[in-house]
Amino acid sequence: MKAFLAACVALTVIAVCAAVVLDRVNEPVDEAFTSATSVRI
Amino acid sequence: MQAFCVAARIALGALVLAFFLSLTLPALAQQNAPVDPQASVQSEESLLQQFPRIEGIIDQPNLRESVLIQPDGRIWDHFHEVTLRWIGALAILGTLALLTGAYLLLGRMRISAGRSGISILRFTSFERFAHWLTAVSFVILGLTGLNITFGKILLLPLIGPEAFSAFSQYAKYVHNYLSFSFVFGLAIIIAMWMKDNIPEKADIEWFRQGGGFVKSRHAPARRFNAGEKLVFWGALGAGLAVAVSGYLLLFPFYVTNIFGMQIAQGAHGIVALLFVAIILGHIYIGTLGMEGAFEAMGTGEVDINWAKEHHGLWLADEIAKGRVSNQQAGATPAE
Amino acid sequence: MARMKFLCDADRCIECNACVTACKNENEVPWGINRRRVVTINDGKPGERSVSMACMHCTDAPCASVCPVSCIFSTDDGVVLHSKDLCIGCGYCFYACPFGAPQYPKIGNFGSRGKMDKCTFCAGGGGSEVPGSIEEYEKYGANRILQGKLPLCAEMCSTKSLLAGDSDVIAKIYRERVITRGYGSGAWGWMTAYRERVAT
Repeated sequence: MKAFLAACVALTVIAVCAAVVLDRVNEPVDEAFTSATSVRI
Repeated sequence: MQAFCVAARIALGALVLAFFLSLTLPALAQQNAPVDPQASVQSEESLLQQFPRIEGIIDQPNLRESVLIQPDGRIWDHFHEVTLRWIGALAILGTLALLTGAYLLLGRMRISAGRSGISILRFTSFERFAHWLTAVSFVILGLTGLNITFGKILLLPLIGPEAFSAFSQYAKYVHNYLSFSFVFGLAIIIAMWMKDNIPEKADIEWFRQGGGFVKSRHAPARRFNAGEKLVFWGALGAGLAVAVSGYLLLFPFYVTNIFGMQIAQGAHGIVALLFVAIILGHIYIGTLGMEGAFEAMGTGEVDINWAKEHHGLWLADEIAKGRVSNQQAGATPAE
Repeated sequence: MARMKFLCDADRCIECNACVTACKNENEVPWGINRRRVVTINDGKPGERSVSMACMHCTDAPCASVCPVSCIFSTDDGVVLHSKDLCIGCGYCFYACPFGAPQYPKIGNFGSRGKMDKCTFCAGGGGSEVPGSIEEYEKYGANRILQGKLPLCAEMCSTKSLLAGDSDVIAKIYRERVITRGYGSGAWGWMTAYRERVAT
């Protein structure tokens, strides 16, 4: 039972960390396509 | 003398004028030749015959938009709405029908010698932790994934569009983020159990003896029997496939173009549906299908008679290592 | 009943992008969202052609078919609209659309892309807002159809290459043009969108 509960906690923690990281990657288009580094063609 | 110069100048002027006039002759010839505005134009059909998409130059910085037309979008739509649903329905309903039939025909497979009351440790708590991490992630991923393909047919009519959209929105977030938990758990499982899942000669014999389903025969097995090895390698392959295709879908157009995205979604859908079907079988065996199986993952300890019957070679090794808590007289070594 | 369609005469389009600008202005489309775009084939080479492309408002729209939450639909006029309240931003409509019409406010991962936005044929939106209201305008853009007007992109086209309106009317205009001038590269996208050609 302990192993199962620990697993549930772990999967939530990993999922939350993933959410935080991915949200930083997710750019609004008005920032994504105006950056100086983006290539036009 | 003067008259001669005048005449000469006039003649020279006339010659120069005639020279320049003669330069217009080619143009006169051209005016009669028809201009064809379509001379080098490629039609939409001819372009699509050369390549399944038509691409060009655009002013906007978003490169995805440079695809003018990709008619294959309709094909992908048909695949998702028709083909994938058929595959899913057949695989999952077919598996459920098979399992129901198996339960009705064979019933719950009992421990032939009955419980001995003596148990032996089969899985440590870390192993169980890794399994449940992967398993719970998988179940939730499976359900939220099935919602994308089957939700609007099965669930939307029941709860209405607003509730269904709200549910689907959260289901989608959960699916995205739990994928990391699943991959993490799967990686641990592969690292932990790879060495015990290498195929060997005993596996062929296990199949020949009916894989433990035929009571009169004995199917030899070490820590993992051949059926479990199939689940391991199936989960490894399918898990890898859904993970790679899933991350391509999660980061759209970072790596592939639109055709690549369509292929990724197709692969993700087909593999995931088959994966669900396999795991349904795995869950059945581990719960309903076989007495004494669940506790291996529940508490970690299994009954010796169960181990003798289904993992005889493994039990013999464990006894030899002195791991059995209370050795019953005549606890038989390897068969 | 009118069947609304777009037709871009590729032999007249001069890539001026007035249609793009008109749409952006009329619908106050945010930066990065490209409801309409002009694509140039064979740029700089003989036979260069430009085509103005937005949502074609297809017959049997594949976007409506594939949407997992059924938020996209066709009106009686054939205009394809969607509800931003129901949209979950999954991005599937973009994979299904042959014309790249769906746009999303964020570039990132599946499901966090925000609500899909696309050309509405200047017919407002497919949500529950009152047609012509300020709420509808803020979410979806102009509703010119309600006022009996046609989409602004076609109205502002500098060469009248982009035509918008009833299928029979614009097909007739294009046909007459092709016959009069003697050539035409066809109604681009019509076969895929409407499963028909303009007979010339």
